[in-house]
Amino acid sequence: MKEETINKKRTQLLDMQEHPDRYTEEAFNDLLTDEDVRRFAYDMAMTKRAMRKHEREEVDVDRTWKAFSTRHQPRHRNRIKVVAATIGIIFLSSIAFAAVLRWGFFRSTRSEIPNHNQPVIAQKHPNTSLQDTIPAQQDSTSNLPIVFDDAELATILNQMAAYYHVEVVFQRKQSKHVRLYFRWNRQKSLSQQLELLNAFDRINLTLSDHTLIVD
Amino acid sequence: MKQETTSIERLFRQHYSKMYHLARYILFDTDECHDVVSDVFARILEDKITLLPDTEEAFLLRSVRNRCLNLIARKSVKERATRQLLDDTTGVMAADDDERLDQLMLIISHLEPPLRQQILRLRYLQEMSYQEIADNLCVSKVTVYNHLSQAMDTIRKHLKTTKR
Repeated sequence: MKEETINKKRTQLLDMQEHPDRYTEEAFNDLLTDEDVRRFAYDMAMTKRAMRKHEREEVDVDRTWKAFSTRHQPRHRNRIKVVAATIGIIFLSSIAFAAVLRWGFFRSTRSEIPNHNQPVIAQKHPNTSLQDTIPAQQDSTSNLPIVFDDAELATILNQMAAYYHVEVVFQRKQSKHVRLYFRWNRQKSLSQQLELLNAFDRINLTLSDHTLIVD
Repeated sequence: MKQETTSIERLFRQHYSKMYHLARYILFDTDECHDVVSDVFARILEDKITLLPDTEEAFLLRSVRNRCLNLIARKSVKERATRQLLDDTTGVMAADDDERLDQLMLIISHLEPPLRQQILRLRYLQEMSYQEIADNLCVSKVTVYNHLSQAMDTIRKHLKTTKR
């Protein structure tokens, strides 16, 4: 008797797979509330996975790469930006370098400089530029991106909230447990992070008045 | 810049097959799988992510896996049930999942009678409809259903004794 209903429900699922257009989303939902059917569906999905895993499909990697590389040619603008940034860094560091040289030079061999006005200015200048460069370097090490690997959304957001001084409100409990891989670059703003996170299909975040709302 | 392009090319050539293969046994659909793998590489280019040689493969595979699971999660119950996509509500596939799949394959390869295995193969590898399978094997659709149902019983029994 019981076996009969089990079989009936399983057949029902198979028939629904065969003709999905004949059934509504609710019909699927209803049927899958049944423990046995759910397990049946799970086992079939696992079986499909297992069999797929053991069947290799040859991929023409060369062709795929060519298609990919034409679609994703490094954009020109990006390149210019990188180049400009590099020049900027080199320029800055050479100023600092020159400053250090000069500063050191003045301290040890001040008397050798014939010009009277310059030492004062020069000494002031290197001091400030040194202060500028040192904390900047410390910043960049503490600002290395934090990588969340297979982390729960709650973990990620709680850390961010503390860092950006906002509060997090989860409207649905499940959202807390969405797992993801995420690189948190702390040099970027919170809204930039939200933009990245919202790109995930299962995540919907809004920020209003120092409160981060997780849908 | 030149070096960057060649390094993405190396990553791509070295890992694409493996990544695609992983996507294929989670997501099944050929086009979707190629898209997922491409997207992973596109993301690396866009975000200028530098991968460490020791962990690059693990990173790439995990990215593929997560993307696939995110895609599946977005699909309707109906689509998941029809395409027999596994809805990993527990989060990401566990690390020992691969082991379980291998175990499962062993069970499948010992299924009797041979017709049962054949049905599974036509269904899950060739993606035939149940009617097509029935026609192909000259049996009724009910027979196909029964074999599937019994195959799953065997699988469940074996998996229970080995794990879970």
